[in-house]
Amino acid sequence: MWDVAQTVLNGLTLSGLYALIAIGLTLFFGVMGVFNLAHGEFAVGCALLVWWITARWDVDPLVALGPSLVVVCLVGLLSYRWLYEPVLGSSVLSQLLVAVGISLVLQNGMLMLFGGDFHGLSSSYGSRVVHVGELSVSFMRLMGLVMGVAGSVATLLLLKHSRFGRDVRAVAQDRALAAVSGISVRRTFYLIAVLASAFAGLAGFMLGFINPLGPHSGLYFTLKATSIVVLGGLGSVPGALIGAFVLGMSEVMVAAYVPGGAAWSQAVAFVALIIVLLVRPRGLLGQH
Amino acid sequence: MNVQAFLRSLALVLVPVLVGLFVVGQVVDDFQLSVLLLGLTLSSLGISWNILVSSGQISLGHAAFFGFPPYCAAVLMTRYELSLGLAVAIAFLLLVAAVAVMWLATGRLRGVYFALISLAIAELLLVASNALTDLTGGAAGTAFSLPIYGVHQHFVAALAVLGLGLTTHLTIRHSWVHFALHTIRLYPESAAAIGINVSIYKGLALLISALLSGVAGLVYGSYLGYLSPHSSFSIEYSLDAQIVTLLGGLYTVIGPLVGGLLLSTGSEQLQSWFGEAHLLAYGIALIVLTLAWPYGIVGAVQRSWGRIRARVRRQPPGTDATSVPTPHTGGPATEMPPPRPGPQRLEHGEHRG
Repeated sequence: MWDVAQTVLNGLTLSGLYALIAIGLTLFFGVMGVFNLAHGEFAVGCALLVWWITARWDVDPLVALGPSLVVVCLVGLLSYRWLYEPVLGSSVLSQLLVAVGISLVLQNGMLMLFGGDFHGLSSSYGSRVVHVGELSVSFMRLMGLVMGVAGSVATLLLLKHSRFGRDVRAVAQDRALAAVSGISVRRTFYLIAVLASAFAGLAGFMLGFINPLGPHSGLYFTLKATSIVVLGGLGSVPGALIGAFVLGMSEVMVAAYVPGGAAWSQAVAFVALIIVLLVRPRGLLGQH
Repeated sequence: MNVQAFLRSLALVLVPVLVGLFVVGQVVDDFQLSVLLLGLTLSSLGISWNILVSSGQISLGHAAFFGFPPYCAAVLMTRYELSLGLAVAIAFLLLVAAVAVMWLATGRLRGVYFALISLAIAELLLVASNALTDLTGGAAGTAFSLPIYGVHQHFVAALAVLGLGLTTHLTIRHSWVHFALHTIRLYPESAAAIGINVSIYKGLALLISALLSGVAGLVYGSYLGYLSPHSSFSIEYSLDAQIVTLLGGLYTVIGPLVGGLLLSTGSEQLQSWFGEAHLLAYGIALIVLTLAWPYGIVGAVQRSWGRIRARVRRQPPGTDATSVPTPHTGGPATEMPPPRPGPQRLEHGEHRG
């Protein structure tokens, strides 16, 4: 009984982290219409940057998070401004090739800066474990769940009830009409690029406490986030939350109950992606 | 099908290229020959990617098609002790089955979905071949070889595969399929409206592309002699296919060949400059080629050739009345301009399923 509950709890906390990383991807695609294949690299980049700062100046990871997030958001904004913006109106081929290029440049840039080793983040609160009855969960995982849920709710509220959110929805629906209505389309895009990078960075920070990350880990997170947002419906924020829940739960279930499941849990995301595209290509909450 | 133009392009493109490469292969030493062999393999891979992308299906995981047949055949031979022919036949049957699933899954979809599913399949193969340790030997890998030996015989085999690829693309180029594929890519809605069976042609392009890279992978896998999950399904092959085609010239017949030979000779240099991070150069190349130079080498040559011809034609009659009609690339130069990053259009939604 307790181990089933423990498994469910593990799945929930994993889902929270996945939601955090998927929101940025789904926002970016939903508003700009470009699939940001480098999303996972932003997450890993933030974690490695935090590691580098903490190792160099011996500060708390939370202190290092601030400057790291600034750098990640700046890279996100500039890569959007210089590289994605020129291909916004072009073919999907150009967009995807540029995205692959950005992802490769970031990966190998990190490889040159930080070396090829895997690094995890650690701190006094990072290793703390919370016990409830016979359940135990690490503090950072719990925080991941909290942040994932809080992040999606905050994003939803922002989109529904703020002026910025209204602009974003207008731009996502029809750029030309939004522009003639006096909304600055470019500024909205820049803000979304920054917001998406910030979400990726935060997710990377939390992931860094749970798993050691290397420069090449980004692709896996991109693919998992991809699977989540396709599962939930490309461009839908609540869809991302649901998709993250489904993927997180299934990965933990496969790892716990399928023989040799630890390795197979890594394949769940890909299988889920293929099945969703076969059965319901617009995803659970997709509108198209 | 325009048989005459097809035969002329065979005589003007295929035969000189194959004979020329064969002669070069007899002259150079073994190391240079191995570089050339890699170049031919990458060219075949690029040709297959190019055929697929001309139908508007963007594969980001071509390593799956390239690595699966030899890896699968190797596993069948070592675990189930099948004969080589049977193992290869089963491997290709499985490849066709996988292609059918991809076709069913993505047939109704456009844009990013195909790209994402191809990437996912390549990564899935990598994870699965590592996880199924009992079957595949896991990360340790398995031995594989065709009954051809040494770098010379493999070079000839790779040259034959290249010939097969070029012939296939030339056949498409001079048949109705060429127009069907390009119409599907450029005007998806209109294509269906004017009676092109979009689904069938997309499936055809996918099948041809998968089989061609599979054959190229078979020869190269046999040359390597030893297949591990990471060497078979490395994302680097998927990237090679893209770079080779973009560098040489998107949608052109000999573009991937030019790009493949350049990349294989240049990759040693890149390794020495960037070391472990040599894919950095690939990333920069992808961005720069897409944003600044989408025509590639062959495309650029074709365009300037077309400009020269236009200028010559404008001269008074009698000076050059009969210019040669077709350049040596097997098609009119101005036919299908590749997409280029034009000014930003305020359109949205074409990327969505």
